Amino acid sequence: MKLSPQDQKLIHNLEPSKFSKEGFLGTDTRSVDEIIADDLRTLRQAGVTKESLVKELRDAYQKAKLAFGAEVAIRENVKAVFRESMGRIPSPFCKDGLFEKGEAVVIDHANNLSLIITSLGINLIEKHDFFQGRGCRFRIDPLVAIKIFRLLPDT
Amino acid sequence: MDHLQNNMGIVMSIILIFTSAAFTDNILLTRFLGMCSCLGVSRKVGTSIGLGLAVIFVTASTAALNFLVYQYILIPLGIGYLRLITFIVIIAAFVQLVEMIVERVSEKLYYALGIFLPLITVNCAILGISLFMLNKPYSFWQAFAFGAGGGFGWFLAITIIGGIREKIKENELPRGLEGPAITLIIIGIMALAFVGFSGMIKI
Amino acid sequence: MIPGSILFSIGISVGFLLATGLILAALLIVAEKKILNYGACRIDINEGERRLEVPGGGTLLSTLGENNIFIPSACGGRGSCAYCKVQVTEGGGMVSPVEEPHLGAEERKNQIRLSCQVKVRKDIKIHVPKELLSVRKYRGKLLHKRPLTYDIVELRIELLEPNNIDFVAGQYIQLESEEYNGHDRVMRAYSMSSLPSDKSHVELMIRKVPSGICTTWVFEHLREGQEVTFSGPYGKFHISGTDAEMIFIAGGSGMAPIWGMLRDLKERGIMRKATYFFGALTQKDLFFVDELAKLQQEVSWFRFIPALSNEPAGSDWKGERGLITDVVARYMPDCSKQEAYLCGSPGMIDACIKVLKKGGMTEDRIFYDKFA
Repeated sequence: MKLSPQDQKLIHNLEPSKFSKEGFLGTDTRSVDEIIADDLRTLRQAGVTKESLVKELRDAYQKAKLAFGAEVAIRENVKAVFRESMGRIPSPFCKDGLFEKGEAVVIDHANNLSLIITSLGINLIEKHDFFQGRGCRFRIDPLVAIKIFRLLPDT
Repeated sequence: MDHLQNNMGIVMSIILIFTSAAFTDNILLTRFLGMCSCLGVSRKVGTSIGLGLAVIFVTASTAALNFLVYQYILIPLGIGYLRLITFIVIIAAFVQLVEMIVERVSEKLYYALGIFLPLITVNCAILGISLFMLNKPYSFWQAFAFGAGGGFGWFLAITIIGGIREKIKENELPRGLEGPAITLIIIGIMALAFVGFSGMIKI
Repeated sequence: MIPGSILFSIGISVGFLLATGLILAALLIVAEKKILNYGACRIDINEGERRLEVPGGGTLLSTLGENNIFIPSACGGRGSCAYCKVQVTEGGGMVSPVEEPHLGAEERKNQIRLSCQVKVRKDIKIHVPKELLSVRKYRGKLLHKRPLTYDIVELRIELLEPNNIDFVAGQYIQLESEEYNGHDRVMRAYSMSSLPSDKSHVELMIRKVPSGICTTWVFEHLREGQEVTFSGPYGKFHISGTDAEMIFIAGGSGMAPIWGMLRDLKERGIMRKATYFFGALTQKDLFFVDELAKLQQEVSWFRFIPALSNEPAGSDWKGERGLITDVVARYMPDCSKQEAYLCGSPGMIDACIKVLKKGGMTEDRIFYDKFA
């Protein structure tokens, strides 16, 4: 299928590049559209809105960031550590801007789960519904996030 | 007096040919040509319009160009059967040439239309229009109108599809119907509507 | 026996196709030469400070690069990193859709453009920071790579071509990684920790970043004795000409420019009072402590304060404890007369600026380099 120049650029940008060592798709063989559709469906089935998930991610990210690399408790058995790095990374989506590079590593000791939250990762979910491909270090799997943050269905 | 009526007749026939090529014989919806770029690029109205306008320009100009080549070179040489391969080469070269000119002349036009030109170098709708026009005994301007009308019809169809796809983007679809699948269904339903026009104009 | 008429029509067909192909190919070649040839164009830099005569058609970024003027760029001209901004006052053409998201209203008013998206099609007038004109591309040899902590290494590079560099303590270079495991070459910025007087060497401190393209190359693929390429010097982070007391705050590899500045001060015999707050998590994140303590003994004007935020309570650590911002606030409750020099992550810099402002310091006395 022929793709518009914008879509061609997006697909190119999602691959490993000068900015992203592993790319945004990981080992996922699904297309971007399928990844987005599947993850949104997962969220809907869990009854959680994207907005409440984004808010949790952003709060955890900020909390970890302000601790300068020290471990902070997000909730019981859930800890986060911020790893700084210099510079900024551009979003793979066109006209989306630059994002700081630090990452918040969130670990849920009770469930043995972990997530890596970045400012770009939050933006990709918020603006593009894109949680990144399976096997990507920075994928924010909706199910994992829901478990870690104990998100309940919004009423 | 006779002369004037004759002229009126030609103008009328040109208008009729344009309309029929755009509506009753819509190349995308009744012949399903140019599907590949249509499925890929119709995600947004903005890109649909850009690609559609580029197609109008290229179909109109290549129809005229190919008409001249066919009538004044291929037919006299007795090699009309080479039209398919000749048209492909001419269209490809023409698109490349236009891309260069647009890039040089106007940056604005280049960003609006030029970036789509490589996508339609081998678009089958464009080749189709050039070939179908030979089925009727058209004059030069009638062939041009057929090309412009065909391109306009394609533009119209992809713009509408883009609009519908934008509208249903947020809607929940059964797995497996997402993306190209639902687009094909939409095109099918639209085609039913356009087939309703058929027979209204006879040329 | 094939009838002559068939041979004739085969001949005509083949001849026609051949002729069409040749004519169209020739047409396209001529068109490319004629249409896409912009002839020689003049680039005027900073109102006549430098004038270049270049062949038109290329991008401003690459054309300047071919003439040894290196605008910082990380993406190599794809229009996604937005590092390569320059002011184009004449002949820049239209702002392309690729540039639009990267340019603010203020930048647009000042005719700032992404030099990788501006095509040189006619005579162009641009303004670039003066120091960029002295940026060169260097080839060097890695002499040493030694670990400073578990995740920071120090590199010492001997310059080969050109064999000396003029810079001010605090400036940075852009190191170019080589291809490995299918990853492209990338450019990343690192501050120099070496002395400006040692013109034939450059020293860097590099911390390993998980998923970092360049740092992974430095840690796992770069070997001593290997050739490296970089460009520089860049940046406006350097010691001011005043005689105000100085506060340095940096942790981890952020020490690099500070280490260069402190040794430069000592070498030049400048006796401005200075305090260096070194923030780290635990003792295993500390390095150069002995060297800095030694400097403190050697000169009267320098004080070194390492502070640990996450050291276990019962450990043998005798120094300061707590977040570096709290320690600074404790030592410098009033810092309205001092100047501050910060190096580190954006988050750390923002937090330090907050604390310093609370202590009465004005923003024009706080210096830092966020690396674009």
